[in-house]
Amino acid sequence: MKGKNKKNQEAFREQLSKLFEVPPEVVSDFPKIVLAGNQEISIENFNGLIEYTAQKIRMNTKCGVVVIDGIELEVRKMTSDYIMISGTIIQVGFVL
Amino acid sequence: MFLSLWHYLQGYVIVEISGFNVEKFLNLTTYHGLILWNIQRIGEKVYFSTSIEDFKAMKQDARKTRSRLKIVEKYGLPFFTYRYKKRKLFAIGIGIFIMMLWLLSSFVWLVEVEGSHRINSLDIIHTLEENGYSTGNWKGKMNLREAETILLKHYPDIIWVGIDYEGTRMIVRVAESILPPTMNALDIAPSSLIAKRDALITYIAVEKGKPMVKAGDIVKKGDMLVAGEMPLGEEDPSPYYTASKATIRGKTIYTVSGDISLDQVRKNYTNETSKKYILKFFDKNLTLFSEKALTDHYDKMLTLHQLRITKLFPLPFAVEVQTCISYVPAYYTLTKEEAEDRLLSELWNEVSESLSGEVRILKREAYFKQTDRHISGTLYVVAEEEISYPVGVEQEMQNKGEMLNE
Repeated sequence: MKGKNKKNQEAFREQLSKLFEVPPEVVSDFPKIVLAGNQEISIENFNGLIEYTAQKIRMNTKCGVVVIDGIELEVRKMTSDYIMISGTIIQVGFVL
Repeated sequence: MFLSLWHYLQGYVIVEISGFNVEKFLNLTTYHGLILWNIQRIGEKVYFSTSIEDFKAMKQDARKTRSRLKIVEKYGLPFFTYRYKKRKLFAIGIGIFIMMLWLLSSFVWLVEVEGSHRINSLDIIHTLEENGYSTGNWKGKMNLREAETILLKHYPDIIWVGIDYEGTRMIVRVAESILPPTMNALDIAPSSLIAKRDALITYIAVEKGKPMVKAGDIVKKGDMLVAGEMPLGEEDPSPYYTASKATIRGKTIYTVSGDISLDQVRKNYTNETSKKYILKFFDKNLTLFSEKALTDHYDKMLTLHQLRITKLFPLPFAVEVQTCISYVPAYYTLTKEEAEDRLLSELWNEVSESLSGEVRILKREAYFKQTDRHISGTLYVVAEEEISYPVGVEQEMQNKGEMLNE
């Protein structure tokens, strides 16, 4: 019942963003991931770190766990919903 | 860049954290709204930077996640001032330094004039000086708008003045008015034509005005050739004024004489120089350094260097460099012909300066006489040239007016 409710809420938000022509990341809690080449990645709307090493960073988001593999990863800036990581990024993946 | 400056002013610490729940710790701190940056993992330990207040606030998070916090380094102004708190003289020194900078830069050390073409810049500077706007004055004491009015009143040719400070310079920007062409004024104002020197009139053609002479007449310097004032008609004696215009040519005679010595000196400069450095502070001179002075013949060359910190802040000091260049005087003797040639060209230059209009040289004779080591010469020139120049008759008009009133 709760899951169904959540799904409805998602659909409602999507419709809302389409109706008012605002970017979906503003209305929903989905992360907005911006890659600058393979040197920098910034993620808005993340829900906390799970693992943090120089080679692998895992973090919680609304759409599952985001995994970033790379070399000499380093967090440049971090607030409760924004993170900016620099280093050499090899791959970005999602684990549902 | 501005962010790092802000961090420096606020002060920040680099913290080393170790433990098994580092990720949890980071999540907790960000959840509490604390700001971290430059998070780096080196081996088992994580290093990050944070501000002083945030560091104090994150101690309880560390306790909760059983991580150990350790300050590795402290950066920023608060730590710096804390370290130098006890060194009072150091702080006073910094204060005095800033005060001196402020004090010295609040004086005018140089006055510059821009945009003056007809009026001499030095005259403007002198006028300002007489009214108390000169170098060495405190900026706060001077009222620039008043100085502008003084200049405007003093020089009617100046149409606009703007005085501003640029650093320790006082810049006077001047806009000069454009003069009306003088030709026009003479055309309109009534004028007479006057002989510029003694002459025999050979040709006269009058466009405007009443001719007073005819061809063949002999006139003296200052004689009226064409009058700008004349009676209106034969029966009507009331005067009528006009700007005279005429072509009047006459034969004039020039006699110039001069002499020249057969013994001449030429300066053969050598490479030998001697320099003298003088520090100038307003009217005071201080010799800084001088090389061995030259004893024989030398010419002096002066160069002035204004000392300044960047272009905006000239200092009240200037360094004057006196360079003496020595020369060997070479005596040589002119032959009679050479001397005569030289003298003749000098005399001719003198004559040709005073010739005017369409000139025809009718006769040119030179006589030379040798006395001892000198040659004296006389040059006679007979020329046919324009001999008139205009003089306004306003003065006469006024006199006439007064007489009529009486």
